[in-house]
Amino acid sequence: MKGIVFTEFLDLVEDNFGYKVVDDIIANSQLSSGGVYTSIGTYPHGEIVQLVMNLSRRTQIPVQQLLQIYGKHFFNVLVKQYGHFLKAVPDAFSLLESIEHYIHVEVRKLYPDAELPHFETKRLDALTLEMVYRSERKMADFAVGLIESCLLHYGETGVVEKNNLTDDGTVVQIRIKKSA
Amino acid sequence: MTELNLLKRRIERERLARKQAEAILEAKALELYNANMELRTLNESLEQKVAERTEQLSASEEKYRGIIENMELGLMEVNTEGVIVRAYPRFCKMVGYQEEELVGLNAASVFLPAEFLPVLKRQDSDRAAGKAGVYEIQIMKKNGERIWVLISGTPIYDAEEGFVGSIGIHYDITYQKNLQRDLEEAKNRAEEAEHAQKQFLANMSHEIRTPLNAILGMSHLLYDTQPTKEQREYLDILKNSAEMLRNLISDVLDLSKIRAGKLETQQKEFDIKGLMRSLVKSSQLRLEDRPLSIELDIDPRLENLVVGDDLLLNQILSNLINNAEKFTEKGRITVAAHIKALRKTQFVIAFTISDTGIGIPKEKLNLIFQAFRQVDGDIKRKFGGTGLGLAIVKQLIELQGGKIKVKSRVGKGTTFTFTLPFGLSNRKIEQIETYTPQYQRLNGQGKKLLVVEDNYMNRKYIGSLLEKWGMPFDIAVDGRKGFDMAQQELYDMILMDIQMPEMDGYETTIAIRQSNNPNQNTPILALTASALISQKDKAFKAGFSDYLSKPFRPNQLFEKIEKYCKSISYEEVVDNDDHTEGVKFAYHERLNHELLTELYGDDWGYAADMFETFLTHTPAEWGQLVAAFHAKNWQEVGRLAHKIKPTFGMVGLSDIEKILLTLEQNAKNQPVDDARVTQLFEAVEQELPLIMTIVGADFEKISAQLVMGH
Repeated sequence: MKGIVFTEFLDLVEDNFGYKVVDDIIANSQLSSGGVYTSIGTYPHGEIVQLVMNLSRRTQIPVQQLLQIYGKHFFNVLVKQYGHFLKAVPDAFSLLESIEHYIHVEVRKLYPDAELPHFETKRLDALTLEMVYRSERKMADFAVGLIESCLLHYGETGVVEKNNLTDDGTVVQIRIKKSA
Repeated sequence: MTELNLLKRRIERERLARKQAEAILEAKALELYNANMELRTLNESLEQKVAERTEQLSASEEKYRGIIENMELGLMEVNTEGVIVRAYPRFCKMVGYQEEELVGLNAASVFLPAEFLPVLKRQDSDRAAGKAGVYEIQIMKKNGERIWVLISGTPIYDAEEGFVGSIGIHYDITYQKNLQRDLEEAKNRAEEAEHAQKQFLANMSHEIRTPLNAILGMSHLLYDTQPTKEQREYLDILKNSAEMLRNLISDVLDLSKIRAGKLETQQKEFDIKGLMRSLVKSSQLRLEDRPLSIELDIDPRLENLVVGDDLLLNQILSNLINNAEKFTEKGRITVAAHIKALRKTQFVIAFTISDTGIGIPKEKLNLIFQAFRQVDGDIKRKFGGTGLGLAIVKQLIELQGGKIKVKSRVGKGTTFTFTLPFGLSNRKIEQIETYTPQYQRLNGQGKKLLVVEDNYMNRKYIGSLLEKWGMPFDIAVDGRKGFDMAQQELYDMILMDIQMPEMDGYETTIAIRQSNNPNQNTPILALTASALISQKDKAFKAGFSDYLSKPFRPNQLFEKIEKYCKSISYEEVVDNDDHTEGVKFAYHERLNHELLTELYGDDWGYAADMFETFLTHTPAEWGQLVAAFHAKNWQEVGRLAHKIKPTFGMVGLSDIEKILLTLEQNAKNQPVDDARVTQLFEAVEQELPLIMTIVGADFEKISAQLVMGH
């Protein structure tokens, strides 16, 4: 997992709950990195899972919700850093449809070791897009947060529904219905 | 305290994270640097390679250009407008210009003669379409001289502009072109000459044959004039030589016909056994006084007529038989025919002609079928011949799809074997193996005779007699036609001359007797010019029923006809006392009949001699008299008139004889009366042309009488 996911997560925790909580969830987790992250490094995926679960325990907010909130926040981080890539893309669906065959292809060029989820997209009608998420990371909620933030970015409104296609959450159907 | 510890931990984490980031960045920077270095090296080596390649390319271009230039190939480059861009040294040398003179000029207007403009235009459009091409044109050198060049042109492309022009490689082929032209001329001349030669040969053969046939014809006629023994010998030589010459010409013509593919084979039914029997029988007749016999051996399975070319088979077999006769001193010649292969519609017959002659040396065997080749010069001197016979035989056999082989042992003999395919016929050969002289006795009216005679006067004579006696007859003008006619119709009697061209009377009679035809048993009367016993013997052996020596009188012929056609009653119309009436000869009315009858009576030979003497000598002698007259040499005129006078009397010109006597007297009497002499001279001079014509015509008639024996 790229370091930026950890640094941005911990920054968000600090902003909302103070550094005490950050220190606390690091201390309660078994981290090979020792809780030291830099955005350009790469760290084991299990560490973010432990951090999120400890935060949930500490704050009594469900993991699902935490990931969704973090996803929403993370989209803005991406816009800040890579905004120029988005200029040529006219709307949210277009951006979402280009993830698999354009964005992820470019990401791999920059970070050959990146492990990325797979997305299949299908337009059901002019206002409905269906995406199928596949990843061993089981972070579909993070994706839902990103999508919601994406709609906001393009000034679009709509509903994002999530439906697990497997029990373990590795394959998830996400349906985005824009309001007319 | 807790706050402080928390802060310390935070700072520591931040510090560690910074170090971690620095380390990663350092590593990335190094990575970047290395990648950059690598890229630079790669670039450098690439540039070097490009430079090397470019150098190699231009070196190789120079190398090939150099090679082409050294190969006497002139290179010139033009742009798309045909303007010269570059002219290479060898090309400049070829056309006699300097490069500076040429660059910038239009190539066509400098070099091209107008008649080649269309050729170049076509090439230019090919070049623009990207096609290379090779073509031959003439170009003009600086000094105006023209040379032929072979040009290989190819378009030139530029990376930026595409088609920018073309390059032409010029090779000077003037020498080859001239050679080619000379060769073509020579070939045309040779072909014309060959054609002319063929035409000449054909014409000459014809031209030679015409007088030769006349010589042969006349020699045959001479046999009928009761020649003396000595004259007959001379005649034999004359006839044999003329025949040899004609055979040679026929052979040459045959050979050239075969070689030109002009000889066509015929397919007709014929009696192969009869053909072979006739040939063997004729040979037997020729070999009579030689210690040499000839035998015939025919496959008993040959029961039917065969389909093929009888004339060609006859020519082949008689050539080989004649050859065997020529080269065999004593012993035996065997002629055999056996069926070799029998198929549904055709079969193959193997013919063998073997002799016990001198044989042919092994090393010469391959020569004998070549035209104009004989085994050696000695053979030619000893045996004569044209050397064409076997060449013709071989070609005639091969023409019909057959093959010929020869085996020989020197001093033992030679065997020729050839095969020929024939078609099968359903018609059986009528089984008349040998001729037996049993004459048919003919009854009833309307019986017919066949007269085979080549002499026109004799035909007229015999014809007029038969007409007079009311006997129908057919006429054949030579032996070959006689044989053909004998195959068509049954005759009651055949009157056959002996000395004839193509097939003589003996050969014709043998053919009639030996082959399947209606006249195998018809009486044949030989009309011989000789009363020699040997001739009579020969006639009987050939199959003649009887003979009659020329000249014969009408009643002699009538008796012979009566003997063989007994029951026909011709007596009523025959006037036995007037045998000669139908052919009685009368001198021209201008001539003195009484005198001539008194002089010659029935002695036509004497009369002919006298008339001939007159015709031969008078023009020259009269010419001398004319010369003397114009010279007014009266004495000479008188002397010549005296000399010439009796000749006129001898041909019955008594009146002229008298005038000449008067002329003689007047020319001798002094003083000479010029006017009188002139008058007498002119009287004869004016009449002379007419006289010569009349005497000439009568001489012809007398000669004819002579032939008839009247």
